[in-house]
Amino acid sequence: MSSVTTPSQSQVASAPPRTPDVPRTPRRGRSRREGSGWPFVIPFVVIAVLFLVVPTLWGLGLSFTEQSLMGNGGWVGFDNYAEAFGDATMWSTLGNTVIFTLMSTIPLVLVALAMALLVYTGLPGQWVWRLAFFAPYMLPVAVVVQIWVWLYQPEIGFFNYWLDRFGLEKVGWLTDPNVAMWSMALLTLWWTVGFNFLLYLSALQAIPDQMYEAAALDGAGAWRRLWSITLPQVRATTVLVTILQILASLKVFDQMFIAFNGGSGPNGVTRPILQYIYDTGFTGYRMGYASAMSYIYFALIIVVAVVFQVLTTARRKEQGRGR
Amino acid sequence: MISGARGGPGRAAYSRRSVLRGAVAGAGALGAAWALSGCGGDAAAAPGQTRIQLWHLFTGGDGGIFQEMMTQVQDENPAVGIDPVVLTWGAPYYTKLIMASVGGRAPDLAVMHATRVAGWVPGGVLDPWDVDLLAEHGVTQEMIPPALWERATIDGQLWAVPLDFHAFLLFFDRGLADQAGLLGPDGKLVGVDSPEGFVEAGRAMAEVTGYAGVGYGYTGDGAQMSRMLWGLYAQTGNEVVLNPGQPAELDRDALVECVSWVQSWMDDTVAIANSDYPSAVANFSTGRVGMCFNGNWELQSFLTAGVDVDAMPMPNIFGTPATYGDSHVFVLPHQVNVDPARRDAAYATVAAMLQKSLLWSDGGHIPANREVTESAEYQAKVPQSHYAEASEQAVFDPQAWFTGSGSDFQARVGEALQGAWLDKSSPEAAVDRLIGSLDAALQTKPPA
Repeated sequence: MSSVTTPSQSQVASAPPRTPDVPRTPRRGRSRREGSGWPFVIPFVVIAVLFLVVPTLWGLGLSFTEQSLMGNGGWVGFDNYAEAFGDATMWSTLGNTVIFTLMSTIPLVLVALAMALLVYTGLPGQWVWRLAFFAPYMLPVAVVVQIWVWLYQPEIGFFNYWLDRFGLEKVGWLTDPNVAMWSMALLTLWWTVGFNFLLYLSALQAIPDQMYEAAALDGAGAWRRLWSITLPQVRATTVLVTILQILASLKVFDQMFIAFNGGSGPNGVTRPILQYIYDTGFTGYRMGYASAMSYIYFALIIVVAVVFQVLTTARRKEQGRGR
Repeated sequence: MISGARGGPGRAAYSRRSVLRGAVAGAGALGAAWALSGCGGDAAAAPGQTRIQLWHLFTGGDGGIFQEMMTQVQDENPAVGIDPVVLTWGAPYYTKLIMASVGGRAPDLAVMHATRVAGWVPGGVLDPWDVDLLAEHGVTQEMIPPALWERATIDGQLWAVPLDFHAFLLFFDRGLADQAGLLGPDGKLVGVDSPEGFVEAGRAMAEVTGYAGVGYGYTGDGAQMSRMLWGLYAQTGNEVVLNPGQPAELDRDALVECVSWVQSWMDDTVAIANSDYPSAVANFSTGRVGMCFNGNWELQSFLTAGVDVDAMPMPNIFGTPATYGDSHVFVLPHQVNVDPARRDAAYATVAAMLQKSLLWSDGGHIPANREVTESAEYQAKVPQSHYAEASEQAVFDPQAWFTGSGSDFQARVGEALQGAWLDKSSPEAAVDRLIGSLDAALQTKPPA
């Protein structure tokens, strides 16, 4: 692989150091060393089992019952799953989540890259930009949504006020079914792009200067260096950022829940599937059915993750062969 | 340059140790908090006093008044002590209350909305009230408007004791109404009691204000749309019957008539079409509109804003007087082992709170206790007494396990109607979508 330092590697650095000669050590020594790690792992294992494994299995069990939040319910087999596959609302809210993922992931990757390139290559006072781009990420979601709901306010909000002043038509930022999801994506972009920006910036800074010097000596201009050195060198980061972003966007819930006060937006277009699951379980009290939908969604996310994994490893192997 | 990405092994080890140290400290703090909370329970009980826990959802102005009522009740009856638990109003309030009940930590008494009781009774999370015992404490059926008592009664048992009816009213600014020629000699609005008359009145008001006539904030707010829709629908003399497993029984044409009528005055003159709840309140508070549909709980904010405000029940547009609202009720969350002394204290508290509900009307709510609303003191309260009749013509959300205040279904109503009112899409399509949502909800098995 390239010498790009990504945060994933810094995570690796905090794991037990894995030196290349480990596979060559005798098997007995290796297993002894592995055994000595258990006391350190057990606290985490206990917490993971208590708060991750057990609830996950419990939820799976629930999905085969008609358990209500009021405490009653019995085994119903696959009825909940059958109901879910025929539930138009589940599919439409799933569609909303997918649309949001597309609307948010693409700009969140591209804008982050553009911002990182700007900061890295040209702008004076790097730390100011770094701070300015990252600062929104530090805000709690409730604050962010509150700010943007004011900006989006139909009559006196910032956007419509200025649109009106310039003689343009006011936009129903949160009330037009064609616009509302874009408003949520825009809010999310402003809020979280700073994190992706940081990942990209650190990747850019890890590209060795000699490569640029060599290219410059060979007469490569700025654009050539960008296309032939910078972008290939940050490819691993792009994969990482994209995966993280897709998973984060699929989890979307808070922004819509707060912006629409627990409602579903105009025509119901902004209600993500997680909110539908929440509404079903905690407002409608149908825990069994909500669990079944969670598991269907869980399965879909695993499929997405695996497909992505297969695609990226296939490409990496291809590159490996080319080298 | 950023050096953060270059965390060497030594640095990582240090941070790991500090994280562990932090975790241990955190766990210790949690343990200490847990140990402390174990002895926080009944510490404050004075000898001979029965303390009960009361959950309610009143914050802001309402919360202050409710607290004052509880203080007065305790002062008059030192044998009862009330430990209130105040939770923010919203759908999660019911999630918390129901989980407390199921988890065996039910409070002795709780406030909820009458429209949510129907969904809770089959689950066994409420205990019914003993009507005879209530009568012994001085609370009888005759005291409560029939519409409220009926809503609180399911399968012949009383599950809730109404404290109030909080109505969806038409507020108006007396000065502006006078200028628009809408004020009768008795100080009431004239000519608003017909589909055309109301729209004309709105137009006249818009000429006076120069902005719009009526404030009605509803965008993104299924509750506000439900209030308007079900109130108007009841005025057509029809009702909605929802039985699980069957299609909804309702009059589609009447619903279309109601939706079309509201659409007809969402013309940015009679009313601003793209208006959400806060902007409608702001517009009425600042005199940009002269009338305003909203719940009686906004009365205090209009008074605070210095509006010369008066209010009336929903204008009778379609012939049958009806005003939408909901009722704050006292319920007994189910307890496995009922402590007779605490249960008795709960009855006494409810009876005393109902007696104190003249104070409650300060917040704008209409007390359910007729002895209060018929009293001279209440009649002297303006504008409260001008809309008190709303509780005699009360209508609620259609009754089903999935409807009511803070229910998910109000968002479905909003999804269906907003397009018709804001984007002027077909009212028929909106009503069909609404009926489709009702039928879909009726096909799902009610949780129990």
